[in-house]
Amino acid sequence: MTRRDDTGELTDPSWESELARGQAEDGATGSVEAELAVVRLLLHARAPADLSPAIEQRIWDDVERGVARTPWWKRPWLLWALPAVAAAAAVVIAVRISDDRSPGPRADTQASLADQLERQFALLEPAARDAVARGVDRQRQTLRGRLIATAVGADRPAGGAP
Amino acid sequence: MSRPALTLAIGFVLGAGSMLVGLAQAGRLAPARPDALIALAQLVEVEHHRVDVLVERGDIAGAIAVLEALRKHTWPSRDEVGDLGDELRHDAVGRLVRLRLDYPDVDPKTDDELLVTIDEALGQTWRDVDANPFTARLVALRGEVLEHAGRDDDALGAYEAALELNRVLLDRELGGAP
Repeated sequence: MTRRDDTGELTDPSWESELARGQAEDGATGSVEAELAVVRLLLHARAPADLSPAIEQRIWDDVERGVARTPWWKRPWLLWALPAVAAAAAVVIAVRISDDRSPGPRADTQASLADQLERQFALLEPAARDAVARGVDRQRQTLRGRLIATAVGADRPAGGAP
Repeated sequence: MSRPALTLAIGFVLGAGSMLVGLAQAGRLAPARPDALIALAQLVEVEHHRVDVLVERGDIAGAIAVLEALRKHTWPSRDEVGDLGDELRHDAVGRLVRLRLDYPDVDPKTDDELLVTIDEALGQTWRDVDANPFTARLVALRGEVLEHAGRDDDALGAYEAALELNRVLLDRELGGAP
């Protein structure tokens, strides 16, 4: 009733069909894997089955894979931790670069002061230009007066009126 | 002459002398050289018009060259042309520095060179010049250059001085000050 092959199957397939038929007679349904495992255990207890070297090697390989420590770079938490750390580092770098480039509050104040003064100048400039023009005109009149006085004085004969 | 009359005469002389010195200090006396002031004002006005045209054409280098030539012109002293002469000079140099700050790539100058230009125009007695927007602007531009040079404290001092001049002007506009 038993056979061994490279697939590792230890029980005759008829066991499974027999168990399934018995289960059907009892009115039950589902897998018979549990009953089949008991049968395998009993069969093995009666006559221990030896494993072929290939199957044994495959089992040990499975065991080794199961108990071996996963290298740190393959651990699942790295899948989310690594991008999170990279994103945080990028944010820190971006903020620091932004801090370096953007002027501080004092520089802002000074820049706004310069703008404010330039706006005040634009406001006061037209009247100031008019005032300068008026001042220059006054000097022009003064100069004209002096020139007329000089000319009049030059026209007068020396020594007074006859 | 009796003693009271002599005292009165000395008082008159001292008072008149003080007033003359005060007015001269304030630059409100008639300039000794009105002809120089008139010629200077005409020159500055014509050059302003030239700069207007050049800027409108986009020839910033040309505009700066015109103002540089004007800056290097021999400027009459304050005794000769009064406060108006200083105002005209501050106006021309202020426009030059404004253009240089707005177009730093055109015929570049260092901050130190700009400061020399400004300080040369302001001279030692700019605080004695009657408050006017042109001097205030040049002082404010000095602040901008100092700020650009990283001399924040000096820049703030210049800005405050410019604001003070503008405050006087605004008070004057509102009739609150002489």
